[in-house]
Amino acid sequence: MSIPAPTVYVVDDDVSFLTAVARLLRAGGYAVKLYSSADAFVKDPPPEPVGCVIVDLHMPGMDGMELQEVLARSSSPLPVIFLTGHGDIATSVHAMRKGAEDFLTKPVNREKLFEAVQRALVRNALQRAAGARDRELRALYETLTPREREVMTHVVAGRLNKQIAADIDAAERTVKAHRASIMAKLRVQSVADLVRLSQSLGL
Amino acid sequence: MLGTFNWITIVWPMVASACLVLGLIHLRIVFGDGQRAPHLFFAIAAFAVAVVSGFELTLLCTSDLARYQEVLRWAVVPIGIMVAATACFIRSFFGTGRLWLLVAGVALNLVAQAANLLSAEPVVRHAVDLKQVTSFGGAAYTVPTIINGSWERVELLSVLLVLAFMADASWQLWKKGGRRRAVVVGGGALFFLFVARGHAVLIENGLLQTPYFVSFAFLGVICAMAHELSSDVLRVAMLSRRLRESEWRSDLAARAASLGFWTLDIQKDELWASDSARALFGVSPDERISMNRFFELVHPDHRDAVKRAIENSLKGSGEYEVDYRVQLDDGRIRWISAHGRTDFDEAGKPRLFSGALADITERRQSEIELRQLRGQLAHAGRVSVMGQLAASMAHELNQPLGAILSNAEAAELFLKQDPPALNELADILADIRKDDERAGEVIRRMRALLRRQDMECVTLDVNPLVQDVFRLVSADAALRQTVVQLDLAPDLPGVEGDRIHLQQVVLNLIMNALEAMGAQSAPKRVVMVSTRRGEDGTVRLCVADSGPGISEASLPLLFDPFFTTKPNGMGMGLAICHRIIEAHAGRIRAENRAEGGALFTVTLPARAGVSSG
Repeated sequence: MSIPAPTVYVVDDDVSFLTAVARLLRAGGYAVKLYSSADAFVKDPPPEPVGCVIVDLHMPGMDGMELQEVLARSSSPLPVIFLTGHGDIATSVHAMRKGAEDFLTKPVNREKLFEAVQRALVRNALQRAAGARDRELRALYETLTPREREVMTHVVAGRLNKQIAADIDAAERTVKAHRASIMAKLRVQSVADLVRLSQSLGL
Repeated sequence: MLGTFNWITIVWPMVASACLVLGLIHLRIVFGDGQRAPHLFFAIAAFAVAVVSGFELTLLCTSDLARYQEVLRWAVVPIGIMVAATACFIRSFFGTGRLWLLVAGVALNLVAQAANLLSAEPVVRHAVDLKQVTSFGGAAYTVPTIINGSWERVELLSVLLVLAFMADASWQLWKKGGRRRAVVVGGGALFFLFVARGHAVLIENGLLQTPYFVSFAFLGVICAMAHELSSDVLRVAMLSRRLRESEWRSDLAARAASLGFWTLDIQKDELWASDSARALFGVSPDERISMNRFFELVHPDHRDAVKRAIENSLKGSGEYEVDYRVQLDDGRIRWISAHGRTDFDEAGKPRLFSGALADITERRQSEIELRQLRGQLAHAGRVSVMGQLAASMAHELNQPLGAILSNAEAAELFLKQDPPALNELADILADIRKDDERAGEVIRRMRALLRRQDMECVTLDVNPLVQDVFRLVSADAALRQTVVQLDLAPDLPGVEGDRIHLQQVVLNLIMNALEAMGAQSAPKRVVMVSTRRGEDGTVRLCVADSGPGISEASLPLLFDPFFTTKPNGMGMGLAICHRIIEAHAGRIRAENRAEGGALFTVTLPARAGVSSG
């Protein structure tokens, strides 16, 4: 599966502004896709969450805040940059708390815009990378048998083989074998690595 | 004989001089002013009596028959004049009596005299013999023996006609109520004329041997006439004193009210102005004022209006009422309110044009100040509403400004490319221009509402006005997630009004509606603005919302100043709206809709014959 080039998705009901920003971003070397409303974006979402979204705060129909909420519910949210004609402090604080990448006011100059877009794209890339590692670990974890998963929770909890054997009503040797199998399947060398891995899996 | 002094040579000249003095006095009045005719006839009669008195004295002192004849013949002339003048006096003084009697008497007398003078021998009467008589005090005088001529009866008839006229005039005056005058003048004249003529007849027929005293008798008539005339003179004097007092009082009142008076005598073309009127125009009390000088002082802006008002008054209406500015010589401006009227003579020609002037500079000033204050209040109201719109205004402005900046920066980047992407530039420049115009339009709309303060009435269509306001508030409505719907009737007649002030009203009503629905959930927030043609030649504008409506307690107070239901409202918005609509001769009404929400209805009188199409 090839990873598509990062795209900047711009959502604004003001067509003239939309065109201008798109032009600027294209001139800056970004791939751009335009939506004239939040509803249009929701109806026709990007196939891959690669890139970021620039969205106007106030629009007829669904507004920028609502779009941010919709995006936040997806598995790998695109970073959101708000770009608004006028923003008060309360709204911007609210937006930032909800995880907005930036909150810019029109008119915005190129440096600020590009900087925000660049930061958003980096964050998106990192998020995507983190997501990929996460998926890989989960795939490895999926290869464990139910018995091995049970043993693993005990190991991560720091219990000795003898204690685990008593707990699960098995021979100490069997526990040892499970433990070796877990380490091999999850490709870790030490119990410390196993603990870190289990944490990132959210176990 | 003539050289001797006796009572005859003393009394007759006294009679003559008394009559001369009286005649001269009244002749002076004739050349003065006022009611001239009676004085003129009186003066003529008095002089005639003086002359008659002289003739009598001569007759009394002459012993030569031929000379006596001559004097007697000529004496008829002053006697005739005396009788005619007395009769004419009565006619002009009483204003009564049959004219034909007068004319017939005087004409007959004239004929008799003419006959007497023109014929070789006296035809009225002549003396045939003289005899000397000595009276008491040793005064001797001549008594003639008279023979009546053929024309004597004509002369007698003329005297009778005159007597009849006097009796008739007196009787008519008596009936009309002028009893004293009828008795004193009419009765006196009748009596003394009768006595004089009767006495002469007695002497001439030899029945009495006394001197002639026609002049004595007529002195009585003259005295009676003088008495009545002088009572007129006295009355004039009294009236003039009263007039002076009244003038003094009106002058006092005029000063208190800073009024000035003026009178234009149209026939004499004389303009008189009181000192206070002159002071109003900054003209010194002794300067001669002409109409030209007056128009020179009137401010050029008002000259035509003042000229028109004067012409209208002189040509028919009589009334004169005009306000104008005066440009004083020292450069100051004064507002004058002039009220006056034209007095027409019997022929309907303007005679006097007079009136009063008042200094209304202060009133004008305070009117102007009040108007300015109102304008400022309305302006303040607009600024305050615009303040509420500031957030959405900023949004509306930042939109095109943001696009312009982005386009410009994109253009920079395109130019830096190798080769420069020139094909993009044309589009970018076109877009920049378009957005610039858009920003300009936003500012124009805003400025149009904030700029002017005073009211300026023109004919205008309500629909475009509502659409302008709609554009102004639509961004704000979007921010509030409120739908503003327009429902404009296509065939509205125009209205007479001030665009900005009416827009302010519409803006205020819509903003109020938007604010009223703050607590409503989004899909229910609708403001409906509609225009309709009223049945009674009006244009109706309705602003309805779907908010909570107006409480019953608030409804009657809604348009009062400083009444507000908003936590931080000033309570001026609707009060200003009310005042603006009243100034447009319209009405504004607030009510609750049956389906919920408030409804404001503005009714404006339509301008006949103008349609917005």
